[in-house]
Order: sequence, then structure tokens, then C-alpha cells
Amino acid sequence: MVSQFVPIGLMILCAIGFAGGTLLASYLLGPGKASIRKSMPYECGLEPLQEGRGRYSIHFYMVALMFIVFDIEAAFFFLWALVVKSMGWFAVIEMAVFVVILLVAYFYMIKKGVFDLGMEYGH
Amino acid sequence: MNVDISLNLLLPLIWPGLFSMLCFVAALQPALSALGTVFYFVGLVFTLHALAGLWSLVPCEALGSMYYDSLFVWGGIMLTTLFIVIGALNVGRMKQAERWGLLLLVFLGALVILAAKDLLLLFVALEMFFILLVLWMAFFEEGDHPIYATVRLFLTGAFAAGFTVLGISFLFGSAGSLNLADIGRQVSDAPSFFYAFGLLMFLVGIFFKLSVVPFHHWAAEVYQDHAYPVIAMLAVVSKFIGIFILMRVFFHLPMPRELLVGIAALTMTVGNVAALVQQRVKRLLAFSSIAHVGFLLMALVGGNLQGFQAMATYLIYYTFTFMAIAGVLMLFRSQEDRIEEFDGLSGRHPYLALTLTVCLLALAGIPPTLGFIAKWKVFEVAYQTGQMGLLVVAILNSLVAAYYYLAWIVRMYMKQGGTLYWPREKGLPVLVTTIFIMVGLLALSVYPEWLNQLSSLAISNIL
Repeated sequence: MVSQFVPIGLMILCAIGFAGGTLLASYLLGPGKASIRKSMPYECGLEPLQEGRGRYSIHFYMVALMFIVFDIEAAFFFLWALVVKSMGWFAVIEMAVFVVILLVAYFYMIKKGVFDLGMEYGH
Repeated sequence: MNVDISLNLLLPLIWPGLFSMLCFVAALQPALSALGTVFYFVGLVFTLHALAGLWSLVPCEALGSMYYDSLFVWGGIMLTTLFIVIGALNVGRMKQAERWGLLLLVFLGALVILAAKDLLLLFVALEMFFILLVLWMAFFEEGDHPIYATVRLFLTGAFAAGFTVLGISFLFGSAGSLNLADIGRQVSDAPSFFYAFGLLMFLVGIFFKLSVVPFHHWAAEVYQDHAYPVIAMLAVVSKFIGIFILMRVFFHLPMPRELLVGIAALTMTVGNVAALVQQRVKRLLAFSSIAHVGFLLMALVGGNLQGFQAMATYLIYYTFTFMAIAGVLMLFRSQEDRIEEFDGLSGRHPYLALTLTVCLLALAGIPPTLGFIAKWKVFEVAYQTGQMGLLVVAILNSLVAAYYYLAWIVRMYMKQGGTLYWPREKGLPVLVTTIFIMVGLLALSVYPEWLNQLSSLAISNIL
């Protein structure tokens, strides 16, 4: 029983060893001279323009959340497509119910203004 | 692949889902939002009807991973009644239809938990229950710091869920199955280390949700900052569900009896001793509910059908008494939620003071009330299974508990100068609900054989 977990233990040891070893090596081998330029946040070689922690609209978060949710729901369709032939009408009805629930949620979101990003088009 | 599906088996799950969707649709038009309340109660009544129709079909399986037995139908009917009570306490308070829809979905999650014997389904249903409960709680504006308390509960619960799922993965790893019955068959000969570790982690997660000592620290903090409907929900429904999960698990898996005896003794002692020194009503209720979970665990330790019946009796008594207390306390307008405000309440509101007195006597377990019968049953189980140490601890605890409940009653009748009062302009639904519960509780305490019949239904046909 325990022997089955040996590969996982080895894998964990390797992961810790690699991460820790790299850090240790750079600590031991690097010259370690600090300068202002070195202590700055790394921005692909450019000078930072502003603070890294800017505030942005909650709508981005909402849209991202909805994207994830609907993305995952779409993944269920692939599995369903594999078995729909063998399961017959039961699977079709089941998926219809699923889609209706999604649509109700979708219309609820539209009506509540989740996708209204504060931008007015055509006015 | 042939899927055998009977609509009758699915109806108790379809109704809450369908009506919660209707609630969300009604929420889109401000003119229709009052319909949310209607949809909620109609949905629950339909569910009750569908559950009652299942009595003739039990025991059977649905969808491959849900098991319908008498415990499920009994628990489902109890749960539906509790949710009807919670809904009735909130009529007029919850304006938005979404809140009613969320409450129906919380109910759906809880109902699936009662039927789940597959650990994966159990976990999914538990999280559905918990996350939607947190969402529902966040809508409340009453209480001192409702959002703060909600976030605290969410973080604690998320932490606990990590333990639960870790435990489930180890149980699966040790037995090769997620079905409780299969796991039970696998481990009955020689429980491995991984099985024991998995069970322990699973229990830690459930204990967090049950707020059992030593995982109780969040309860008082969350209760004291939140509104009474939420307190009733946390102290009644989430404990009901946690105890049901434990009952299911230990019906199939070998029970770590010494561990549970220790936890039960610790829980009731810490809960009662901490309740002695509380100055705030909501904190006192929190510790009192913790102590009651200790008694419920004591019935579980019995491990036989009689223990389950004692537990069912105790659940009927505890859940409805607590609902009645929450109902009465919800009526009052309190400044600082301090227990001194109750001084001389009998002079200002004699009938409410009397109702509260009856409830407190029941929680203390004084003889003519239901509390005495329920506690007696639990003690009987502990005596017959030879848990003498636990029995002594429990009896001592009942004495300690009687002190702070009676001190509260003394305040109401023998002291003067409190400021608590009932603003009569609102609270009619709460008052009517409380009266209904009190009549039910009194009827059960006058005819204890009804209580016996009700609780024996639960164990008549366990799968």
C-alpha cells in the first residue's frame, strides 16, 4: 500500500529540491550587490509608470466570472455529445433542461446589467 | 446504456429547482418581486407532497448515487417544515425575490445531502448548500456587522471544505470506491492507516460545519454580528444536516467511538461553561447550540437504531424549540443585545415573557417540557451502551445549563429596569409562526407517544 506512494513522494522531493536548490544556488553564487535599478519592479526592462495596484471596475471581474462559468458549462456538452446516441431521448431532454437553466441565468444577468460596462454605443 | 428513471423519485428535487428559477425570473420585474414569497411557499408545499408520496416507494435508489430510505423521507419532511418556518419568519423582511430563490436552492442542496451515500455527491451537495447559504446571508442588513460575519463564516467554511475533500480523497484511495456501503465492506476487515487518516480529515470538515469543540470558535463570532433569521438557520439547519451526515457515515463505516465520546463530552462542557459567562443574548444562544450538539453526538455514540431514534427525537425537539426562541427574540427591538435588557420583561409583555420562559425551560430540559423527554431518551441510550462516564458528564452539564437558562427567566420575572420592548407595528408573521410552533411543541409534550411514533418513522426502513 505504502509503496504505491513512493513515486509521489519522490516527485514531491524533486520539486522541493529543484526550487530550493535554485534559490540556494543563486544566493550562494550571486554577487548580491543591491542598487536602485535592481530593486525596482521588473517591467520587461521599462521604467515603471505607476503603482502596480491600480483600481479597476468591478465589471471586469463580473465578466471574467461569467466567462469562466459558461466556459465550464460548455465543457459538459462535449461529454454529452459522446453518449447522446447511446442514451437516446433521455439525454436530449436532460440537456434541454440544462440549457433552459443556463438561459434563465443568462437572461437574468443581461437584465441585471452584468454585461453593461457603462459604455453607451450609438448615442 | 439504459437509464431507469421515475419522475416520482425526482419530483422532490425538481420542485425546489423549478420554483427557485421562477423566483429569479420574478425578480426581473420590480412589480412581480412579491411573487418570490408565493413561489417559495408553493414550491415547498409541492416538495412536501412529493416527499410524502415517497413513503410507499422506499427503500430504493435514484440516479445511481442517491438512496431513498425512511431516514431520507423523514429528514426531508423535517427539513421542508423547518424551511417553511424560516420562510414564515422572514415574510415581509425579504423584499427581493432573489433571496427567496436562493433560500429554495439552499433547501435543494440540503435535501440532496440527506439522500447522498456517494461521497462525491455528498461533497457537491454540501458545498451547494453552504455557498448559497453564505450568499443568502450576505443580503441581510440587520445585525451589527452582517457582511463581516458572513465573510468570516465563508472563510471558515471554505477552510473546512478543504479538510472534507482531502478526507474523501483518502477514503477513496484506501477503499477504491466513493460509495459509503462499498467503503464499509472494504475496510471492515482491516482498516488501513490511509482509511483512518481520511475518515479523520472528513470528520474534521464536518465538525467545523457542526461547530463542535474544538472547531467551534467561529460560531459565537458569526452569531453575535448577524440577524436572528440567519442565527436560526445556522443553529438549526446546518446542525441538522451535519448530524445527518454523521448518522449516514457511521451507519456504514466502523465508528471511532472513543474519539466521538471525547468530542461529545468536550463539546457539551465547553458550550455550557462558556454560555455561563456570556452577557450578550446571541453569544449565549451560540454556546447553548454548541452544547446541544454535544448531546446529539452522545446519541450518535450509541451507534444502534435506538440511538438513531433518540437522535431523531432530540432533533425534533431542538430544531423547533430553537426556531420558537429565535421567533420570540426577533420580535423585540434591542439596543445592544445585552441580557440585562430582559429585566422585568414580564411586566411589559407578559405573554411573550411566558412564551420565552416555556422555550427556555424546554432547552434546559425541565420535566413537563419536550426537552426532558428528548434528553431522557439520549441518556437511556448512553446507559444501555455502557457509556457511564459520558452519562455522568452529560447529567452534570444539564445542571450547569439549567443555571443560565433559569437565570434568564429570573431576570424576566424578578428584576426591573430593562429597556427591551416589542414595537407592535410589525412582526405579525413572526408572532403567528411562533404560536404555531409552540402549539405543536406543547401537543408533543402532552402526548409523548406521538413523538415516539414520529421518531420511529425515521428508522423504520434504513438502507
